[in-house]
Amino acid sequence: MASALVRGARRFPPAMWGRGFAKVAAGDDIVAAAPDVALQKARSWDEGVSSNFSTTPLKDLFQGKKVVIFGLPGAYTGVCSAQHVPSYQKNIDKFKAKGVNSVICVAVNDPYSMNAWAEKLQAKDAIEFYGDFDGKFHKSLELDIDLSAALLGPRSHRWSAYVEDGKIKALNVEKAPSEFKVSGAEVILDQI
Amino acid sequence: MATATTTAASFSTAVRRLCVSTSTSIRLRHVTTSARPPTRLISTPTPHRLLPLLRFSATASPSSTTVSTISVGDKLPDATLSYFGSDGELKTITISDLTKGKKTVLFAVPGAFTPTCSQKHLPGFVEKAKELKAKGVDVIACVSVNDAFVMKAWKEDLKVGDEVLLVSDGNGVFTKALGVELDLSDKPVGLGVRSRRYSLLAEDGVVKVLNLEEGGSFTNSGAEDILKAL
Repeated sequence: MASALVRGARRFPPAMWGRGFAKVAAGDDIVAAAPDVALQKARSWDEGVSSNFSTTPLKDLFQGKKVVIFGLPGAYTGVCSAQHVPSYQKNIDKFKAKGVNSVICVAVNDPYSMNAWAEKLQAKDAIEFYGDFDGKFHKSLELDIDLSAALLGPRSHRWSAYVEDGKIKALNVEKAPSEFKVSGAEVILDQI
Repeated sequence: MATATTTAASFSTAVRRLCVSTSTSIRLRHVTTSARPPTRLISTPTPHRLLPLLRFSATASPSSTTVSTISVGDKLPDATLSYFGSDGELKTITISDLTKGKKTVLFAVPGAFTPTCSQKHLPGFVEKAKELKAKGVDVIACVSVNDAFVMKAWKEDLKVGDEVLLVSDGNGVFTKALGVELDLSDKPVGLGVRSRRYSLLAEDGVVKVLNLEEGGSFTNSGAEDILKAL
């Protein structure tokens, strides 16, 4: 499945996929970089109704906390499901041992698909899943990528970051969304 | 792998030539593992404004001409949709493939994993699939502005077999061409731009029956309504 994604994406010249950077870098304030941005916690529709479809502003997620956050192109896709999320699931105890308050997974998906996916991966107790349904969070950080060629529309790069009280301490962005070299749990564990 | 290394090398050359900013006070600790391309790129804050070639818009912007809403007698616009075949391979299919020379029932839902879609609309068509096929329908397809991965997961979640094909209008191109977009971007439900709920019967690509709902309401776009019209 990831290879299908790449096959579709390879119609663009490789240079267009060479990223590895974002608008923000270590030392920046993640909340300030994306003002007025809120994420939607993964939830079922019923939970949405009962919470009045509330959104979570970024500062609630980051202020006064040690957070490991990772973003990926899409729920249910190959590398995301088979490698990226499991990498964090497996290492959750190590994160807690280093004083990390929360491990967050975010993708440009609606919160209902994120929820169904999180439940399928049985990852909800370890990781908090949020949907950046309109892509604003990733666009603000310039971590967005157009995957229309792969019929996925606007999505996010694959990345990970360690954020302390809103300040980015480490940021890792894959060069191509299909790669999984720098955004895994082991890499960021070393950076905490 | 070789491509990535070449890209990294040429990219890093471009960065070194253009980069004017100095490093920030907090440095990333370099991860040293063997056989990795230079990762310094990741820690260098690059003034990306100087690298316009590598930036591209986040959204695909289709043409901005206003499209009138589809109606009975219209020929369905062609578009490419995607889905996962039973072999697990990502495939594309066009509206033309689905409708040329066939009697096709197409119905659209605002979103996978949302209540009316999951509990009433899709199951209704799965239930009535045999009856519809007995009345000469060749293809029954469910369209949504969701990606193919989510559609596949939803199909498995609802245990839908081959009676109904779940196809993804991932970029919303077909939905837009029909003029049936449902913009929920300003609503807190978190769905963005989706499709209005509808069901239609097309013969050789020409719309014979159309039941278009206002938004996501479910009044006349169910399977029974299409059956009655056949």
